[in-house]
Amino acid sequence: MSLSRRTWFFLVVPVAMLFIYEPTPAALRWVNIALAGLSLFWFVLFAIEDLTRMRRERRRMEGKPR
Amino acid sequence: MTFAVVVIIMVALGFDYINGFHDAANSIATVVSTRVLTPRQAVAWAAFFNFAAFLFFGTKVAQTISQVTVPGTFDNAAIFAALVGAIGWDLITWWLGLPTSSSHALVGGLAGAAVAKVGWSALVVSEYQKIAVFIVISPLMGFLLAFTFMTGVLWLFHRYKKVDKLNKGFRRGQLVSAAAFSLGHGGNDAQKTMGVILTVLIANGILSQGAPVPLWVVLSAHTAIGLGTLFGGWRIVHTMGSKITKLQPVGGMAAESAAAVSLGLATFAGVPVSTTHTITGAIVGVGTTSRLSAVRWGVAGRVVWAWVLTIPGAFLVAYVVYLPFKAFG
Repeated sequence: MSLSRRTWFFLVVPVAMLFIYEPTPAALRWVNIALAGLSLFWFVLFAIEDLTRMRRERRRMEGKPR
Repeated sequence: MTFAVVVIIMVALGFDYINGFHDAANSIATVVSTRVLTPRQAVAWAAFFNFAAFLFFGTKVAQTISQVTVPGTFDNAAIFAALVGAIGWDLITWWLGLPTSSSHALVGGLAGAAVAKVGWSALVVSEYQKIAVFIVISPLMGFLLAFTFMTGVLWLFHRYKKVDKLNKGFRRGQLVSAAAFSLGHGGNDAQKTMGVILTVLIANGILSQGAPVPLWVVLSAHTAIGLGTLFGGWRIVHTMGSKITKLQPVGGMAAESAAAVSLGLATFAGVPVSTTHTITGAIVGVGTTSRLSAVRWGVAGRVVWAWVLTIPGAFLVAYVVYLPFKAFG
């Protein structure tokens, strides 16, 4: 089971935001949180899409109805 | 005001002009590559909004630039060396057709001249930290917002059958988004020059530390960047507008809107960010909505290398330029 590169890319952004959270000025840290949240949202959506597609393909190969 | 101060202010305005010249591509690349405006119309449009930006934004970015070194670090020679470092690096990357950041060239130049004159203790770490953090944040913000805008627009209109009418609407929308982006560009980038002029005026005792930016400085900086955009650089238009990913009017509109929001936010927060980084991130974000392979990562990688080298490159040029001033007192 593997997620697409695009999906993983959206997980890299929250990690980067977490990494630079401490050096970000306190008044602007909400930007890190907002961007990490937005990116996580897209990661979850794309992960669901990837997993659903893989399941559909597996069922098709096994000859089962969708 | 002495002759030396006048000369340095002219050089600073020259940097602002080159900034407009260099970054004009960012403002107009998408609007030209989608054929919404001709190059001539696009530069006039962008130049007007570059100038008009003074009506919308304060001068917090200028204050940040004037505070990146400890008070009393700069004299006329050091500021001159910093500007030569930034302009030199800008011209080298312009010649190579690389969309690097004039802002980071300026920050690198100021650091190089300050370190050459006083040493590392001249740098205000917290200000450089803020700028460094936003080197990472600004392209990612442009990327994420552009991706979100583009996906939202595609989702909203995916059942709409009248494609020609839709494209016409997006082309009109791109005029607004290009104007908003040019406002953001003028607002953030012109303030960097204001910051340098403010530093010159403070260093020469014409203004006191912490004084507000005089109106004539605000107007002259916006005029210089507007003129620079009007006579803009065409080498980079090609890289930004077509080499990274192919754009349609809807994509151009999403990229420019995302970059405009990112720049506006940074300007109100007083953070000098790179318009180049922001719009490049946004263009990549639009390209990613189709698939990652729609982005030409080789070109994007070349751009990233130019970013990484900008601050050290301008630092080095400014450092070397200041050394003769130091040697001969």
